[in-house]
Formats: sequence, C-alpha cells, structure tokens
Amino acid sequence: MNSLMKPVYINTLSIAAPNMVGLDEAMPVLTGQAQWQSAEFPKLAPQLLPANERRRTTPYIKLALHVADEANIKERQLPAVFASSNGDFQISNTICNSLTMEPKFISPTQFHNSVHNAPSGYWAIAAKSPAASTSISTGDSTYASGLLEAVTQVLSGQEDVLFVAYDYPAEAPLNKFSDVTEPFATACVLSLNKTASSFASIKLDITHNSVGKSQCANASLNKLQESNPIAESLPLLEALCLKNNTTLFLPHLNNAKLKVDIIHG
Amino acid sequence: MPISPLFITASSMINALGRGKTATFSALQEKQSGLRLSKNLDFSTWLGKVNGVDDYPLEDHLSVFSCRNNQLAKLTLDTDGFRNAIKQAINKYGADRIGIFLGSSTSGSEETEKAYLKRDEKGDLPADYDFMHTHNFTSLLDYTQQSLGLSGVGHVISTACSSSAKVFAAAHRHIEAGFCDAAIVGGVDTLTQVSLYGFHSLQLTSAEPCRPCDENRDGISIGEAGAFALLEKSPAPGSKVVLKGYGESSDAYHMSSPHPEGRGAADAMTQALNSAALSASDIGYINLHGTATPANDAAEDKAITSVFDTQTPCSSTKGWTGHTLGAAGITEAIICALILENQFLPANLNLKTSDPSLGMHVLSENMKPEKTINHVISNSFGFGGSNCSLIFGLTK
Repeated sequence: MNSLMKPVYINTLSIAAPNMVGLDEAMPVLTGQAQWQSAEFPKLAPQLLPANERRRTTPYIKLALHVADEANIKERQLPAVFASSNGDFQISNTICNSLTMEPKFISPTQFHNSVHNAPSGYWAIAAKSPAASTSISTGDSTYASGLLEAVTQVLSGQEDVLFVAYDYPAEAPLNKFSDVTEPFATACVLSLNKTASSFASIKLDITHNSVGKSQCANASLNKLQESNPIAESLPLLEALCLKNNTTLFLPHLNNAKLKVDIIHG
Repeated sequence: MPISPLFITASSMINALGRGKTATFSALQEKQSGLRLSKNLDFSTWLGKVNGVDDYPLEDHLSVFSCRNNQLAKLTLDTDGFRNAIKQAINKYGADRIGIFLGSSTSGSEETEKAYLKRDEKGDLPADYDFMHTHNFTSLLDYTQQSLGLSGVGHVISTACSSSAKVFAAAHRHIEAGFCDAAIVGGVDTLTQVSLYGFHSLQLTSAEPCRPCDENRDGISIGEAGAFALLEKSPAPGSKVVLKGYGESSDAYHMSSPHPEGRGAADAMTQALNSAALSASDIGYINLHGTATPANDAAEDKAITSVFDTQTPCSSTKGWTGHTLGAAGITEAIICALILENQFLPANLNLKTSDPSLGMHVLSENMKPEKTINHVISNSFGFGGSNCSLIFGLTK
C-alpha cells in the first residue's frame, strides 16, 4: 500500500532495560550470544539535566532522558517524538494520594511533572532544543505508533528526528492494574541520509492480515518483550544489531501490525 | 516548506456554550459566557462545565470504556451529524484508510482519582477499577475508533494545552506519507481534581471569570470540551475551510512558565506562515491562546507583535468556554472555521480595562470585518513549553 515510501535510516540506537543499560551492555544479548536475565534496574542520573532539575524528576523521566541523551547526536537539536503508553505511574500515585487528604493539595512540581509531555519538556530544556516535540500514547501499540509518527516527520520535514520510547512499572496499588513489570526504554535518530554509523534503513507499512507479531530471535528475551509495551521493539533492535535483512511485524492498533522492512547496507 | 491544504469536511463540538456548532456560535454572537461559579471546591473559581455528560452512557458493547471523558467523546460524536459524515467517509475510503489523531490532557484519569477515594484498609484500589480502559490515553482512541468502526492508523497526543492543535499536524503528515487517505482529528478533555487543584497550587486560577488580556487579569478558568473534525484532500459539498499551515516548536525554557519573550510562540507562528506560503499581512484574525494568566498573555503579545502588524485583530475565546486544556486546540480551530464561514470576529470576552503594556489589537466588541477575512491563525501553547499554531483559510 505504501511501497513508494523512501527508506529512512536508523543512525543511532540506545536501550535501557534490566541488565541492558546501554547498547554495549545489551549487544551480547541482542546478538544472541548471551541469555537475558532479569536484574535490579539501576537508579539512572542523566547528566545532561542540571542537578537541581534532576532532583525534581522521577525514575520514569530519568529513564526517558537517559536513552534520549545516549541516542542523540551531540549538539544536535532535533525534532523529537516521545512515546509512552502509561505515563508516569509514580506521579499519578502521589497526586491521587494527596487528593484523598484534607486539605487537598498538589505540589506545583508534581503537577507539572504530571503532564504526559514532562519528559519532552525536560529534554527540550536540557538539550536547549527549540525544535518541535510531540508526546504520544497508543497503549500496547505505543512503540509502533511512535515509530510511524517519527518516520512521517522525517519524510515531511526532511530533517533528522529523535524518537524516544519508554515505560516504567507502577508501584502499589497501581501495579495490580498494569502489565508493565520491567523498565524498558529505547531511542534512535531517524534520517533520510545514510551515515557511516547507520544501522540500517527501514520502510514501514500497515497490514491488517492476521499475521502474528514478531518474536525475539533470542528466546530468553521473550519474557522481557511481554513485560513492557516498549519492549515490543526488541525484535527490531535484535535485527538491527544482528545486521539481518528481514521483515518484522510490530503490534499496532486493532490487531493490525506495523510491517517493518529492514535493509542493511 | 509549503504544505498542501486539507479540507475540513465535517466537524462537531461541545463545550460550556452548549451542544454543537450552532449553540457555540450563537453564544459567541450573543456574548453569553459558559463559565459558572464552582460550588464543590475548596477555593473559589469559575468553570466551563458541560452538562448532561454523566447520564450519557456509552454503547453497551463498549461499556468497558465508561468514564466521563469517553462519555463526552460519545456525546460529541453524536452531535452536528458527525457520525453520519464518518459513515460516508468509511464508504469512500474504507475503515482502515481513515487515520485518527486525538488530543487529551486528562483522558479518563478521573477514574483513578475516584478509585483512590475507595481504597480498602490494605490500601488496594477497588477491583472494578480499570486503568487501561479509562485513564490510559489510548482509552480515548480505542473507544472512538470502535464507536465509529474505524481500523486505521492513529495515536493520542498529550502535550498539555497544545494537544489537540498538534493533532492537525500529525494527521497531515500521516496523509502526506500515504499511511491514510483521510483523518479524523479531535480533542476531549474533562474536568479533573488533578487539573483543578494543580493549577490552583501554581496560583494560576482566577476567582473571577477569566479576563484574557485585561490589565487586571489574574488567572485561568478551567473548562471541558469535546470536538472532532474530518480532514480530506478534496472538498465535500459545502466545505469552505481548509487547514493551510501548521507550526510547532518548544520553548526549552521552563516546565510551567512561558518564555518571557514568547520565543517559541513566535517560532510556531512563523513556521505556520511558511508552511501556508503566506505572509503575516495575509492573516485577518488571530485566535489567541489567551489563557488570562499575567505571564502567558504578556509572552504571547511579545510573540505576536514580533511577527504580525499590531493592527491585526486578536481575541481569546477562553472567556466563553474556559480553558479546555487538551481540547482547546481543536475547539478554537472549529471556532476559527465558524469565523471564516460567517465572517464574524468574536470579542475578547470579559475585557474591561485594556492592558496598556500589550501591543496587539485586542477586540473589545464582536464585529463584522470590513473586508473579507481569508486566513486566520490559532495559537495553542502548553506546559513543558509545547507550542502549536494552525492557519485556516477560506476556500476560493
């Protein structure tokens, strides 16, 4: 349906998940040379945020900024797409708790952190980026919708775009109502231009055929793929790191799939 | 880079002024505000509340999505003949070729507020609470898609008060890239305790009906609203208004205060002009973000006077509807379409004493323009420094 789409290059890549904080640490697992195991997730402290700003943020915001910073091309101020299914559970929990008390009071910092675009706002301030930024959600298909939005921005604006996707587990009592059990985030810079460090190019299409979603090549990652909506990116991250030319199907709205053709070279 | 225009071929809206475009337009003409003094809060403020939402149930088979926000979505879909227009669009394009891009700052998060008030002795939330089908932003998208029988691409944008302006840009990009042939854009936002007490804690709510651009303005009045529009590449019979351009930017300044010089706002307006291939003098009216906080209106004024001639008529319609947050962008976009279709410029309601420090030309009374207005611009600026400006034009 959309075979005329120009290829879009993935020029940088970052990841943060248990036992895979940074692409270097993740590479053995993403290339099938090591098994993935769950582990305690470290407290991240993205250095691009000034310490006084960092103190105001949550693990969810720090997760987003960490992968954004790692994927961003230094000194570039790119348009950005931020994608997260659930938003910041910790903020929802704190604010809703405070509204059960009398007198009702919400701290100003908690309130401005409660907007879905809080990570993108902190990012723009930290990266001093006046470029456009959006913040989206589509539940379990958030990664695919975010990738699609980022690609349409590259195609329409002819500019490189930073795509950042992240979700972070809830604490009690919200954890019983969410299926996010592991932190997971990934980011990349998408471009019409191939560079020396390009991973591959992709072409996207939507398919409504009843094809199943792609599974991880490394079976030890299957559990992680089910632990966080953003971890639906794992088959794509594996293909990029394995340098496989392949076609993947990522969950999209209404049981449709985002068809991703990956071409190396 | 200039973009190709998209026709607004159908639209619907509900806000504190009433159900539908006719009710909204009549209230504008008659200078009847929808703001009412709130009775149920710990502080004094005026609200733009929509009546009749709580007793407007969803379809039985979609009842899992029940919450006030989705009920307002249904009420809006059932207004202004919108459902029928979508049925025709499905026949024309196919259900899988119509994209849907919706803005909200609240979604059904009120359900989480209510659930926390019902925690048991162990601190657990009630078993019938359902985060994914109410609070999660995708609830609004999933409900609307299923209610309309759509299966195309789309997403929810939540960038605070610019959310449902940015949906026009996303829809345009997805159509241009060939991922859909037409798109529904929308915004639905409902009053929540989080937004009411949150804005209050920032000392940004007024105890009076909000007075945008007034020398004595002292904060916002919060409202709620739903609105949808269908965007197509070709006109439908009678369609008179097109999306001509859009501009998006970030302030990169502060999480809850605008850049004092309106840097990001000016950038968004300039980009919108460039994408519409228009110059500032082509714009006959500016619908202000105009929230009525001292800092917001001052920053917007600096941005506007840096881009436009100071005689360009401006007004904020927030004195009528309140600030409908995630639904403000599309509510004011449809007001702009009504302005173009009817060649009627709304006053900046509640303006008593013009702020002498503002340089822009704020309309104190409703007026008929002396010559035809062909293009208008609508501004939406949100927390996190998220800015979006949209340009709408009259078709020739």
